Amino acid sequence: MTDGGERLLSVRNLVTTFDTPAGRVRAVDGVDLDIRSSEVVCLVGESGSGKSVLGLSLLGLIDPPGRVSSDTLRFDGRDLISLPESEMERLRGREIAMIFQEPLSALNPSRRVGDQIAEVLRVHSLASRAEAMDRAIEWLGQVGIEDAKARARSYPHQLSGGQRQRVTIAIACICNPKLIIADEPTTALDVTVQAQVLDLLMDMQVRLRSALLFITHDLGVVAEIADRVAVLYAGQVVEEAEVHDLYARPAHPYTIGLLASVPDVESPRRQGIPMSTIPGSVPNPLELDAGCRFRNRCGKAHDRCMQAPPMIDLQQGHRVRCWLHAG
Amino acid sequence: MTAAPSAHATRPRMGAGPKVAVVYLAIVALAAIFAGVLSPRDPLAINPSNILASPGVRNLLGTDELGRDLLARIIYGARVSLEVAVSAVVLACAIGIPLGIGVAFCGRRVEAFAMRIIDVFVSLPEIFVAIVILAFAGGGLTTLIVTIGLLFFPHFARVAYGMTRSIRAREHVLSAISLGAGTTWIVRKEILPNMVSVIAVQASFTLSFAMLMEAGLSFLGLGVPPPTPSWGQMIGGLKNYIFINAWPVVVPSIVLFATILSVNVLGDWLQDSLNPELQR
Amino acid sequence: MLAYLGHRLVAAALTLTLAFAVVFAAIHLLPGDPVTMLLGEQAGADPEVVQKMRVRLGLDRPLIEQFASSLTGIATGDLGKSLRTGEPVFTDVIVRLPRSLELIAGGLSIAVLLGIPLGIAAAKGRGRFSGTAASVIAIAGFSAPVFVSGVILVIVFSLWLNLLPSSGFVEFADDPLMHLACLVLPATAIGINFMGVVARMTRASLADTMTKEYVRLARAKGLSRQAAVLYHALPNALVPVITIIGIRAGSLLGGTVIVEALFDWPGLSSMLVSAVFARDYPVIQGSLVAIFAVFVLIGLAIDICQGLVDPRTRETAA
Repeated sequence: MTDGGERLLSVRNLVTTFDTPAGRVRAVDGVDLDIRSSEVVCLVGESGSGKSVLGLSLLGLIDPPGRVSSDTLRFDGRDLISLPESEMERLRGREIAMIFQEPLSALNPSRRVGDQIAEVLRVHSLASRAEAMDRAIEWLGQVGIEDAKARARSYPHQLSGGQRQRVTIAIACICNPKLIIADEPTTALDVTVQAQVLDLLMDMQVRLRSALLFITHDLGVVAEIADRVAVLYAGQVVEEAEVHDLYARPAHPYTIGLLASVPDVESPRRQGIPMSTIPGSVPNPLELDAGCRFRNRCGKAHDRCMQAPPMIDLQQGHRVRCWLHAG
Repeated sequence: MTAAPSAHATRPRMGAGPKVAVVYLAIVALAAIFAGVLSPRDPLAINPSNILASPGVRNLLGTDELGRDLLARIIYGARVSLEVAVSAVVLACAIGIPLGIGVAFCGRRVEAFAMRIIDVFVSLPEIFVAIVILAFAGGGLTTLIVTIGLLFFPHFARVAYGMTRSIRAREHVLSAISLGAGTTWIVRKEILPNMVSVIAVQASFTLSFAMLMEAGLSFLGLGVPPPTPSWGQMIGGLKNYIFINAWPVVVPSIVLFATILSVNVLGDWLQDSLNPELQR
Repeated sequence: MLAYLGHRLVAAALTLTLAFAVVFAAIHLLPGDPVTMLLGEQAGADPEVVQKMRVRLGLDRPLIEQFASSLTGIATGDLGKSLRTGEPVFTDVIVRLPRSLELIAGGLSIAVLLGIPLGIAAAKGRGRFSGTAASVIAIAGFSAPVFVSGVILVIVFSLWLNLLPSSGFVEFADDPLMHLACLVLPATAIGINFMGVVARMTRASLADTMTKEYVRLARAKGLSRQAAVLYHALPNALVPVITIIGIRAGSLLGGTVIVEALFDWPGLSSMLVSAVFARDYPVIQGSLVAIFAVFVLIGLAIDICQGLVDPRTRETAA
C-alpha cells in the first residue's frame, strides 16, 4: 500500500520515437509519471498504446532507430538523462529491474537457469562465482521452485511456463532493486498459473519494499494490486488516479469504456455499470494529428476535441486529459 | 477460386551492387549470343610466334600458350560456359521439380524414403561423383551437361517437395480440395505459381554452382574438351606458365570470378526482394 | 551425451555404407571396360587374354559378389591392389590420407578464424561502412572459385613476393618448415572460399540472435551492449553456423580436388584423379572410400560439436 514516501521516479514529457521506412512513429508522446518508493503503479493500455515501449524507455533500452527524450527523468535523486551509459548499466538489474512478458524468449535457451540468476550478482560484482550460485539457488527456493539445487542446473526449456517466470522474478529481485518494471508478466501464462505468479510478485514487492511499475491490459489485476493507476492511450496518459478513485469515479471516456468492458460481475465497484465494448480501434501511430486521439471512438466528442486536450487536475491526485472536465 | 500469390513484397530498391551485376551479366550474355560478330579473331587460330603475350594493341587481352587470342577465347568461352550452366540448370529443374512435386503427393512412407535417398545425394561432395561419372562416360559437352544436371536435380527436388507440402497445407487449398478440386488443377493453379519465387532463387544459386562445377572440371581436364574454349579450361592450361607471364592466366580468372560474383549478388537480391521473410 | 554419440556413430556408419553402395553401382554400371583399357590395344586382338585378365581381377563374378567382397575388404582393411602398380591400395591411402586432412584442417581453420570475425563485423556494422565492407569481402570469398583464389595467391606470394613455394611437397618429418610453407597456399585457397560461407552464415545468424529478447534481458541485468552480444547472442548464434559448416564440409573436401591438382599436393584427391584417368578400379574405389570416410568423419565431428554447444540437440536426437 502507499507509503507516502518520497518520489522515487520522476518523469516529465517522455517522448519515444521510431524512425521507420514509413515515417516517424511517436510511440510514447509526452508522458508524465511519478512513482513513490514502495508504491505499486499500474500502467494500463491496449496493445499499441506504447506501454511496453514506455517501460523500455525508462531503462534506456531503446536502440536506434528509436530515440528517447524527456524534460525530466530522475531516479532516486539522480538525473538519468545525463547519466553515462556505464553508470546506467550499474543501475540496471541492481536498482531498477525488469520482468518481461514471455519467459521462454526472455531466458537464454542454452544456459542453465541457476547461472542466469547468478549472473546478475556477478555483473555487479556483488559475489564470487560460488557465492552467486548459492544465492541463486536460495532465491530459486524463495520464488517457490522445489528442489532448487537440482533445478538450478536445468535449462529453460525443461521448466514449465510458470516456473520460467518465477526464474525471471528471481533475476529481477535478487539485487533488491528499488524499482521493478513488470511488463505484462502474467499475460503469457496459463490462467491457473497467473494467480500464483501474481501472488509471488506481490509478495516480493512487499518484502523487498520495492516500487512496482506493473504494465498490463488486465483491469481485474489492476483492481487487485494497484495503489495508483495510469491509463495510457496512443502514447499518452489520458487519466491517472488512485485505484479506488479510478474505479469509483472514472473520468475519461476511454477509462469508462474499459471498465465497462470487463466482465467482472462480482466486483462491488462495478455493479450498476452496463457491459459494453469500445467500438473502433487504436489509431495508426503514423497518422496522429493535433486533436484528442480518442475522439473517433468517443461517444461524447465535440468541437473542442479537434484540439489537443490538456491534462486537468481533478481532486486529490486524480488527473484527466479530456475537454469534458475543463471549465 | 484464385491462386493467392506468395508474400508480395515491394521490391527493395536495387543497390549499386545488383545494378552492376546485372549490367555485367548482360554484357556476358551478349558476348555469348553474338560471339561471332563481337570476337575480333578466330578463337581457334594458333599463332606460335606470339605466345603468352600480355594485353596489348594487337591482342587486346593477350594470347595463350598457343598464340590464340585471349579476347576471342573469352568471348566464345562465355558462350560455352553459359550454355553448359544454363542447360544443366534447366535439366535439373526438369527432373527435380516434377519429382519433388510427385513425391509430395505419394504416401507418407514413400515420401520419407525418397527424401532420405535424395538427402544422401545432396550431402555427397558433388565433384567426386562428377569426376567418376565423366571419366567413364567419356567426354563431350552433352555428357558434361547431363552430369552436372544430374548432380543438381536433388536440390530442386527438395525445394519442390517442401514447397508442395506447405502449399498443400494452406487453408484455401484445403478448402479447394474439399470442394473436389483434382490434383492436376491444384498443381497448376496453386502449387506452381506459388513456387516460382523460391525456385527462381534456387535456380540462380544453382546456376553459379553449375558454372563453378563446369569450370572446375574443365580446369582438371575433365570438362569441356579442347580446343573449344572454356574459362576453367583456359585457367587450367595457362596456370603452368605463370612464371613466364602471369597476365594471360589472370584474364580468364577475373572474368570467371566476376561472373560468378554477379550471379551470387543477383541471387541475393532476388532472395531479398521475393522472399523477405527468409533470413539469408 | 553418450547415447547421442552412439546414435551419431551408427548413423555415420549407415551413411558410409549407403554412399559406398552408390559409388560401387556408379562405377560398375557405367560404360567403359577397365580391362580393355588396361590392356591397351592388344586387348582388342585376343579375347582369351581379356577373359583371363577379367578372371584374375575378379571382374567376372556377379556384381553382388563383387560388392560383398569389396565391403568385407574395406572392413578388414584390404582395399585391393592397384591395377597399374600392383601395390596394395591401402598403404597408399594411409600415406595420403593425413595430407588431405592437413589441407582440410588448414582450410577450415583459416575459414573459421577469418570468417567468424568477419561475420560478426558485418552483423554489428549493419548499414554502416564497416558492415558493408565486411559483407563484400565475404561474398567475394564465397564467389571466387578455389582455383581462381589459388592462382591469385600463387601470383602474389610466389611470383611477386617470392615468399612461398607455388607447388611441391616435402614430408613433415624431413623438413617441418618447408612442409608448412608448402601447405600455406593450398590451405588458404580452400579456406578463402569457405570463409565466405562461414562469414555469411555468422552474419545472418547473429543479426537474428541480436534481436532476441534474452539479449535485451541481459542488458536489463546490467550488461553492456558489447557484453550482452558477446556472452548471450554470439554463443547461440554460432550454433547454426556449426550446422552449416557440417553441411558444407563437403565443399572443403571438393576443394581439395582442385587444390591438389593446382599445387601438386599428393593427397587423396590427386590419387583419385590420376586413377580415374587410368581406369584403375581398385584405386578409384579405395580412394573414394577413404574420401567418403573423411567426409563422414567430418560430419560426425560437427555433430559432436553441436551436441556440446546446444543442449537441446542432444535430447531430440537421442
